[in-house]
Amino acid sequence: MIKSNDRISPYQLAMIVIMAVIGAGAFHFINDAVMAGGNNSWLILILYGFVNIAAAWILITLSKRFPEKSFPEYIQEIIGVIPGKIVTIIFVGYLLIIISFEIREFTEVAKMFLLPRTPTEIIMLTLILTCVYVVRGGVECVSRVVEVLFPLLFIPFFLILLPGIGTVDLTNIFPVFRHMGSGTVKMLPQMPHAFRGTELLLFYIGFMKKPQKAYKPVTIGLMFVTFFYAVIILLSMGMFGVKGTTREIWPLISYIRNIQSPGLFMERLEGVALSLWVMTVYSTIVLGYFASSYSISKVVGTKEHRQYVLPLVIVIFYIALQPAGLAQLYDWGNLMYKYISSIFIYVLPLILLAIAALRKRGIKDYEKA
Amino acid sequence: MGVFTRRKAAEETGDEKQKLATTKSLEENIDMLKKLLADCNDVVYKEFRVGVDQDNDFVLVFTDGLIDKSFINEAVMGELMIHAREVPPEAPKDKEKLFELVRYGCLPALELKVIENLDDAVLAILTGDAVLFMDGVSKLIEIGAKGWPGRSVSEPATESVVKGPRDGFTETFRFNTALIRRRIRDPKLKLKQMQVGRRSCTNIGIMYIEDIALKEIVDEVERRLKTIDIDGILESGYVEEFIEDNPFSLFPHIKSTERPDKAAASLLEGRVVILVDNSPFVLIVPVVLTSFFQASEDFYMRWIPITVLRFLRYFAGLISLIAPALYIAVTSFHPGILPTQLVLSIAAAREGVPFPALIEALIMEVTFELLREAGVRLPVLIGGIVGIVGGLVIGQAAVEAGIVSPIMVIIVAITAISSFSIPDYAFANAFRILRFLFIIAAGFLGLYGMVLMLLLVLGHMVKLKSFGIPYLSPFVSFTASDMKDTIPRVPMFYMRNRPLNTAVDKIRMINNRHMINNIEASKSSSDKGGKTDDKK
Amino acid sequence: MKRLSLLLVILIMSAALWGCWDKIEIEQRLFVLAMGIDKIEEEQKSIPEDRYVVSFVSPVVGALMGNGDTSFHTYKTTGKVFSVALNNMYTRFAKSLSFEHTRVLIFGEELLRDEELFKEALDSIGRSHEFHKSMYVFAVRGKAAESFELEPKYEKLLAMYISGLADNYKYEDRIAKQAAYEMYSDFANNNGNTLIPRLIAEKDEAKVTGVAVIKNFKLLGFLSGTEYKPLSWIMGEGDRGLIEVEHEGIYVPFEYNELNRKLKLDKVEGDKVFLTINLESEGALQEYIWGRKLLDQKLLRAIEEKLEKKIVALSESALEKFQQEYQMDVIGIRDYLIKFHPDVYEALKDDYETKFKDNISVKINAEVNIRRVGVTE
Repeated sequence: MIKSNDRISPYQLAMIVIMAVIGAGAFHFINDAVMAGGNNSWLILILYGFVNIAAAWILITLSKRFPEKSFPEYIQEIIGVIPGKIVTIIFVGYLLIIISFEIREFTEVAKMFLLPRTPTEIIMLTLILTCVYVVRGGVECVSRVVEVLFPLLFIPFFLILLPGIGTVDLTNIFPVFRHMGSGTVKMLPQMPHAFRGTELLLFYIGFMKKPQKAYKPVTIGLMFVTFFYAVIILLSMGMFGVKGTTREIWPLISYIRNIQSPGLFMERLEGVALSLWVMTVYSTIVLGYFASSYSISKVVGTKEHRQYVLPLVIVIFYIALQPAGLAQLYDWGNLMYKYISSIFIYVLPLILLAIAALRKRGIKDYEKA
Repeated sequence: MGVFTRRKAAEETGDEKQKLATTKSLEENIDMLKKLLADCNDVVYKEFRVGVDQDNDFVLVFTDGLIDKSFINEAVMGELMIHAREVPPEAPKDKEKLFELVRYGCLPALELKVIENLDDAVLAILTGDAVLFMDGVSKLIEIGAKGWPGRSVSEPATESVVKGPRDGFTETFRFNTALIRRRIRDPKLKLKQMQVGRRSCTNIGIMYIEDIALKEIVDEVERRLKTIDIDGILESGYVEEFIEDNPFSLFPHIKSTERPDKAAASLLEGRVVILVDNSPFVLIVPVVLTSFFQASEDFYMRWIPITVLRFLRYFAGLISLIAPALYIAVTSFHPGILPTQLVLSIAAAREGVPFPALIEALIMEVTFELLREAGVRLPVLIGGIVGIVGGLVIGQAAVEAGIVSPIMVIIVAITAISSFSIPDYAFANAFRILRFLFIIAAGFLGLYGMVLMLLLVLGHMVKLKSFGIPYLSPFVSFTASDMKDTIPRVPMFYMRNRPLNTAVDKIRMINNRHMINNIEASKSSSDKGGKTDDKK
Repeated sequence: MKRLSLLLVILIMSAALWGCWDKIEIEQRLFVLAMGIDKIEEEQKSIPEDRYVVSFVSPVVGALMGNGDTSFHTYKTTGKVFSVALNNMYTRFAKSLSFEHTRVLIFGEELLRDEELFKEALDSIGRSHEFHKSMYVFAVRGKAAESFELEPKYEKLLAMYISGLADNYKYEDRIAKQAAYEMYSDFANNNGNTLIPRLIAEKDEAKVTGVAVIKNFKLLGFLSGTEYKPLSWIMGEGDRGLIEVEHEGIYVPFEYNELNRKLKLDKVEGDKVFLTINLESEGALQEYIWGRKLLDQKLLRAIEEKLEKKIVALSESALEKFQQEYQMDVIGIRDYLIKFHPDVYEALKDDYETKFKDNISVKINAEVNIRRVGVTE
């Protein structure tokens, strides 16, 4: 029998990076970014994109030391079994909160524009259960579904953005480079906000056959993400100006709402755009969801991750119901996205790499091994 | 112990002695046989004597109707009864020697086989061969004389083409293998035969090209076929259900075809073809989603129109899947999406319709499916009447009575036409069912529900595998070079590799197009490689 | 486990069939195609707190198919707050209001003069997820509600008629067009200054020409179409139109297909800022007089010069009006300075409006190119 391979190809890794990073937050992120960085936010963001690629490389270097092992397995090797399990559990908690906020944020947007009268619980529960189906299939299914969704999502999405370009006034980006320094400092917390999801690489590189090949796809993936953010910031700024952009909670949706695609079967596309956006929310959730159920199975020490998937529904659902409203969600979200996630993306891998190097754990040079 | 248990036991232990043994006495043998075949009135026992002295007793046993009588007359009866008398025989007195003489010297039939037990004899008789019993030896001669009234090779009804060969598989196993063999004259084209079904003993053949098909897949097919333990296999559909990866999936992941050219093309791509006796449909494994959108014509016509048509087919698939659901989602949930004028005319058309759009769509879709189901099994003459009734019910009457809106009729019509443009019937059926699920999802959560449904279907499809090949490849485990024969169909001379990436011998052709306009190059290459010319 | 999840999915799916919360059939919706907002008058108040009159038109869908004589209905509602006024409608009819197809938004004169009320209504519409900001905005003299009383002679639907009129801005520069999102971005980026196209409703005809001048969310006055036209040139919104000059006793109309505005900072002297506006246009002459040859370089040059003078004169008077009388910058000088000369703007930033009047001087140049003269010589 031909075995199901629980392996990820480099191409799939690139898709995983893109889909994990771009999530429901991209709607509101533009507002935050322009608020902090003003005219230059897109430039600063590109800058931070490259910084983030460097950070991702640290992460890959760490994972590379432990081929065919993912985070919950090798952390026990690096810092010992019990501390490793504790860190893993904290990580899982973080992931679950991130997923739940993702779901909640999307639900609020969907309630605003698509289904104003449908109960929040229904929208959330249907979304979570749809994710469960794929998460139970294991890493093979998760990576494949992400791979298939990428073209299904981005090709139509860019097509939707296209008709608005005529109304965009790109001179709104001027004056460039002015107050760049202060903007860069102000936008620093936006970096983990924009690139949150990179930390999932800790898990997924472990499923690669040749982890040393991860550099290229991760770089390409993160460059795509940077490019995507830069484009949507430019478009929103072009249409609303800097002040107008900061007025909108979800500038991108407002952008799509403002354009009319003339002569088409569909005239106003924000419903379609939001429905497409379900896909990226879905894949972000699926990726985090799988990582957390997999980690739990490693902490408990079972071979399968499946039995943890369904009980997690209740946890995620419960956390997602906690924020009282959009304002609280964004307050809590800021804390999570900007500060706590930076620990997991930047600080933790660095510390682990240092400890691993000091304690000589893992393989130093993969090629020689 | 009956025939089946003995046969099964022999098969399992590999010990032929488990089967009912013959004796040297003709009388005993025939008695035993008659017991086994009691009340089988179509079995004929022809007793005759051979030799100048008429001292050698023979019995020829066969099933009436299954054998070619003129052939038996000519090649068996004639030879033994007339010829043996005309030429003064030096017939050996030793019966064993006589048997050798008959086996090798007297019977001009093409297929002869010695069998040594009665169970095999019974099977041979019932398969359509004649068995010659001879007094004094325990061995029997099976004479291949199959000849029953069968359908001749004709154009396949379900997969007709505008351009392309018109022959189709028939119900006769041997014809089908011949139709494939005629297309691929390669010694590496293998046919493994086995018999499945305790009572039906149906012939099943696995065909593959040894150095193209992955051995694991061939072995897996064989292994799965051997697991089948059923009384009878009447059609290849039986086999399909027993060996497919996920029988609970809506999507077919084994392709069946009536066209030998399609089967041959699949073999050349490195797939395995399963032929089942009594069925004009052969099974092809492994297949992927895109195979169901390909028609065999795609390679017989020029690539530009075919690429456009492929796009159209995928688009039709999409329409047939989501058109009614989209109508519901847009009209009842998000009318803002449509242009104002269109919204107003839809609203005007729906004025006075008593049902919500969801019910309206369900009514129309169910009516349509009813008409379709009723029409399928009716004779052609009455089928036309169904069409007329359907046209009246769906079209005019329902609209005039104000039960449905005219726009809904258009939607249903477009959906129907689109679903007929999917080349594979089994696959179109999957879409029929999914369409209803989409309608319900759209009626529940609008566009959001539709996307969730889409994600569920997608999640299911990425899990699905056909004999180890991901169903959605080449879209999953993406490699750009595999996209050449999926949604577009690039010119054949660019398809250097076989589309199935498990193929062992990956290269299917060498692109020599550049030689067409470069006479020098083509000359020098033909000088160098005379052998390649032979192949052409 | 598998069965459990399957069961859950089935349960939710079936629960779904009972609750389609957002399903509103298309014929149950009342599509509001045009909406007008007015400040309330004493006699219209149903309760003393009422402040708004909202009126809107919605098509009678049956009439669109050819039966029935009125193709749209007009509704009026009052309320203390804009959205309350809308919600009050639900007590009066059995359909669900749908603003997704609202194409025209009209503000009454009195509302525009009341900063507080206007800002509240603006915010309500801007905040709502239902309104599409691609709808066109208009201002009327008098009441917005009155413009819904007209019965268009040429078209069935009033809203389509009005938005179609605004779409003609491509053919004549006297017509201004402004989508709601443009107005909002003006308000956000330009201190609450904008120009809203003016709608004039007569008995069976409407006219879109000229603009209402809004400064700091308050109406200053109306400009007629002819006054607006040169303004549109220096705003950089000149698309197409006709200018006529008199040459040797004959009126020559010049049709320009392009009118490019180029804004340039010349120099800064102390606190004075000097700018130049270059207007470049090209087009064709439409008529001259029977029997005279027009295809003559000298003649054309002479006409060009006259046209240039006229363009400069008209533009200067329009600029004068905004610089001296209204003291508001709608021509985008501020925007230009912010984007390309941020240091210059730094100095003007505080109390920009008076500095715009006193410290900025703009010179206008025009260049006309007559490319074609029609098919006869």
